[in-house]
Amino acid sequence: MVSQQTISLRRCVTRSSNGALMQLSPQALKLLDSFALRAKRSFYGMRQGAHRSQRRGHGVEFAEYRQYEIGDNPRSIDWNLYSRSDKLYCKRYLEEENVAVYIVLDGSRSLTHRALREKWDLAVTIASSVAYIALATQDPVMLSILGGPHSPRYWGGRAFAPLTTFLAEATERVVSEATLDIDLVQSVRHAASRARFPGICVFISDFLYPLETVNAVLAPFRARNMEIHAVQVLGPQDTSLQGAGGGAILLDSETGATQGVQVTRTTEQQYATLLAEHNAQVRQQCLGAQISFTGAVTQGVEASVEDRALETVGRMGLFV
Amino acid sequence: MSPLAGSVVSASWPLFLVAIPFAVGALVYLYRAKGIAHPRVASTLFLLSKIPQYAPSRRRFVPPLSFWIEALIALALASAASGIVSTETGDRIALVVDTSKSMGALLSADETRLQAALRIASADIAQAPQDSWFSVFQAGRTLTPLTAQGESGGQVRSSAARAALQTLEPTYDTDTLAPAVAGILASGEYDSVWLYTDRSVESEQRSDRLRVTTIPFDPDAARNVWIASLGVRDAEQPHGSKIEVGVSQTGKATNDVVVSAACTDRESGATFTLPSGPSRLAPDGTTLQQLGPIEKPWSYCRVSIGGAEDDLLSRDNEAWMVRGAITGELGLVSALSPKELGLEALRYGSVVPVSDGETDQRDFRGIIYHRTTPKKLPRSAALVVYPASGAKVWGSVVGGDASRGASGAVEITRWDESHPLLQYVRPGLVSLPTARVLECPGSAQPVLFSASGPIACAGEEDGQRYVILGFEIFPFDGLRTPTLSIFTLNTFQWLLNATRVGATDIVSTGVVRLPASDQDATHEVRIVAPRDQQLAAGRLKSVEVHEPGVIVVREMRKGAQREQLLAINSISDQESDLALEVPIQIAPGGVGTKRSAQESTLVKGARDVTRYEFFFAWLAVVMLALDLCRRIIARSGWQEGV
Repeated sequence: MVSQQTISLRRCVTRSSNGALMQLSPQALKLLDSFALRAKRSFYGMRQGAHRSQRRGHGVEFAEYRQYEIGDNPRSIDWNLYSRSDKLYCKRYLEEENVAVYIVLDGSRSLTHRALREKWDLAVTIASSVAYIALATQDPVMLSILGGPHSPRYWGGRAFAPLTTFLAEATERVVSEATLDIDLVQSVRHAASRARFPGICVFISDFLYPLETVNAVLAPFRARNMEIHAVQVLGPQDTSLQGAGGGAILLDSETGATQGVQVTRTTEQQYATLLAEHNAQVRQQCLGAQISFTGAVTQGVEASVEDRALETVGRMGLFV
Repeated sequence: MSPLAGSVVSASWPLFLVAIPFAVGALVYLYRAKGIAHPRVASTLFLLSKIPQYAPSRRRFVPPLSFWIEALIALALASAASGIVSTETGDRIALVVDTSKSMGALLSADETRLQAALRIASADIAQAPQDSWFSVFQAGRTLTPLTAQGESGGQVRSSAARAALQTLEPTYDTDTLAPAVAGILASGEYDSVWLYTDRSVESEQRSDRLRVTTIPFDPDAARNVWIASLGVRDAEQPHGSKIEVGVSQTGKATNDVVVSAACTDRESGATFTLPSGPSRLAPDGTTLQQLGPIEKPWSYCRVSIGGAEDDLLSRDNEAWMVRGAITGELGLVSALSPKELGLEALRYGSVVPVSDGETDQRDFRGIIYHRTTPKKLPRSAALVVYPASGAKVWGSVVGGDASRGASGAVEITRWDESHPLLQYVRPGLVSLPTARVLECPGSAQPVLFSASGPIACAGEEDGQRYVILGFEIFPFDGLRTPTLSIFTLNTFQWLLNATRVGATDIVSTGVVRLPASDQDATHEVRIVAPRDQQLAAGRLKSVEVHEPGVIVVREMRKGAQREQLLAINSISDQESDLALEVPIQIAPGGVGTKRSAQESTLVKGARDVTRYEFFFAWLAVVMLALDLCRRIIARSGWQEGV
C-alpha cells in the first residue's frame, strides 16, 4: 500500500511545473521512498494508518482480554478460554492509525539572513524530506515557521506539491522580511496551539540561544505530549570564526548588535569550546526531556545541501 | 638596470615601479577600512559574549585571498606600464668578409685570399669571449647576411658563426665595402665590426669599433691578366662586325696571351670560333685585340684569354657578350603617310605606319605621334608632335594656341641652350606659324618657350626618352628650313641614341634590373650560357645574378612576348688589378663610438631585447578573469564578507 502511495506522490511532484517545488531531486525522492515513519510512542490517531495506536479495537496484534459485556460483538469472544474457565472473555487488538506530524522551522534571522542562507536551505530541505516520508505513510503534516506563516494540514501523497509550494513562498517571505528580534517563545506557543492531536514534532532550529529559551521553545510541544525531535542546523559562520579573516566586526543577525573580535588561534579554540559546551548542554537537556537531538552542519562534508539533509534525516531515529 | 644571468633587466619607465608599494599600501588601507565599515554577519553573538573584545583599529591585518589577487593585478599592471625589458649582454660582433673577385686570387699554391680570410676569421671567433654574439656577412656588390635573421635578430654564438663562415661563397664581383661597413657601424646594432679583406682602411678614419684584417700579399709578386673591356665594332651590320677586347695585365714582365672567342647562334644552335691571334702585353699594360669579322649570324659570344703565365686570378679571363635586338623600325601614328611627312629623308630606320593600339604589339625603336596623343606611355622612345588643344599627354594637359607676335607668327622667346635638342640651333631665328602651349609632365623639362608658355618638353620615363612638341616640324624638308631641320635631327638623335641598336647588352653581376614593362607583364629569366637553367619567373622588376654568363629575359604580355639577351659580366679593373691598393674610405658619419647597452636598446633590433609588458598585461587580465570567475562561483560581490 505504501509503495502505491509513493508512486502517486512522485507523479504529483513530477507534474509540478514550478521550479521552486522541485527542492528534492528524483534521486533523493527515491532514497526517501525507502524510509518509513515510525513513532516511538503510540498516539491516538484520526484515521486508520500504519502506526500502532493507543486505541484498542480491530487490529492484527493482540492486546488484552476483557470480560464480556452486554453489547459486545459475540465474535470477539475467545471460546477456547471459555471452555477452560467457563467465563466469557473478549479478545482486544491494537488499532493501527496515523500520527500527526508537526514540523516547526525556526524562522528567526539567524537562519533566514541572506548571508546565512545555507542554514535555511538545509533546514527547509530537512523539513521537506520529513514531510515527504510522513505524507507517504498517510500521516497528516502541518508546517509552522516561527515568525512566519503556518501551513494548513496536508494529507496524503498528493499534498507534497502544495507543501513545497508553501515552503517556497514562505522562504521568499521570511528571507525578504527584515524583521529583527522576533519573539521566539510566543511564536512557538502559537504554533503549538494549532496542534489538536498529540503526535510527532520535528523542531528545526540552530538552538543558538540560552538554555532557558531552548526549554521555553520546546515546552509547549512537550505539554501537548508530543514526541519531539530537535534538529540543530549550523552554518560555517557558526562553527568557526575563521571566515572573519583575522579580525572583524561581527554583526548579530537577530539583534543587529556588533562586536569586535580578534580572531586568533586562541580565540578560535575558545569559540569552538564554547559552541561544543553549548551544544552538549542543549543535547543533554533534550535527552533529559526525552527529546531526540540531531545536529546538522552545512559544511565540513563535500556534499550538496540535499545530501546533507538526507544524511541528517537518516540520523534522526524517526524513520526505519 | 641590473645584470641578471647574462642579460640586463631594465625598465623604460621605472617610475611606474614606484607605484607598486603605493598600490599595495592603498590595498591594505582599503581592506582594513572595508573591515571596519562592513562587519561580518554572524548568526548570533550569544556565544561570542565571552570572547575578549578588541578595538578594530588594533586588528592584525591578515589578508584574504582576494587581497593577494588584487595585489598581484596591481603588480602586473605597474610592471606592464613600466616597460620592463631584458637585454642580453655580451658583445655584438659583425663579421664582414670581402667576397669580391680579388679575394679569389691565389695567395699561395693552394689557398686563395678568401680562404685565408676565413681561416683568420675562424681563429678570431675562437678567441672571442664566450658570451659574444656574431653576425656574419659576405660583402660583394651587396651585403648579404649569412646568419638567419630569425635567430636572435641574426646574431648567433661562436660555433654557429664558424658554421656560417663555411657556407660563405665567393661572389666574384666588385666590392662596396665602404658603404656596407659604414652602414653597419652607423646602425648601432653592433659593438664592433670585424672586416676581412685584401684592402686597407685609411688610418685617420679608423674607429675603435672597426677591426680590419687585411690579407697580407706582395703587390710586386701579383700577376694577373684580365679582360678590361668588351665591345662590338660595326654592330649594326648583320655581318662583318668585329669584337673588340681590351686586355690588361698587372705584373712586371711582358706576357703573351691568346684571346679567343666562341659565338653561338640561338636560332640554329650553331657555335663557331672567331679567328684570333696572340697578343703581347707590356708590363702593367693594356692592349686592344680585335676578333673577327663575324661572318655568321650570332646571338652571344664567350671571350676568353689563354696562355697567361703565373695568372693568380683566372676568373676574370673570360667574358660574355650578346648581340642586342636590332629592329631599326620607327612607328608612326598619324593620319598622314611617312612620305607626306618627309620621314623617308630621315635615315634613322624605316618608318612604319601603325595605329595607337598596335604600338604595343611590335618592338619599335621609337614611335612618332603626329597630331595625336598616345593613350599610355609607350615602351619605346616617343615623339609627340603638335597634339590637339586640350589633349592629355601623360596626364599633362595641352593648353590652347600660343599667342602670336606682331609678325603674325609665334616667336620663341626663351630656351634651354644646354639641352642637346638645341645643339647648333638658334631658336631666336625660328618663327612658327602656330604653336600649342604645353604643360610639361613631371618627368620632363621645358626646352622651348613662347610668350604664352612652354612649347617643347623633353624627358625620360622608365628609361625611355620622350619629346613633346607643341608645334609642327613636319614635313621634314632638309636644308630648306635649316634651323628647324637641325632641331628635328637633334630630336631624333637624342631620342634614338638611348635605344640599343645592336650594341652589346652588358650588365654587371648582382642585381639586374629588367626592362620596364606594364603592370600586367610577367618575366621569365633563364641562364642560357655557360649552362641552361631557369632563374626566376613572375612579375619581376629585377633579378639577382652572381655568375657571369648570358641570360635571356622573356617578357610576356597579353598576346605578345619578346625576348632580350643580356650578358652578365664582372669586369672591374679595381678587382682584377691585384697590385692596386685602394684604401677603403668610410664616411665620417659611419665611424661612431661604442654605444652603451642602454642606448642600444633604444635602437630597434639593436640587441636581443625581450619585452615583458605584454606578459604582465596578460597576467593582469587573466588574474582579473580568474577573480571574476571565483566571485561568480562563490556568489560573492566585490565587497566580500559583507
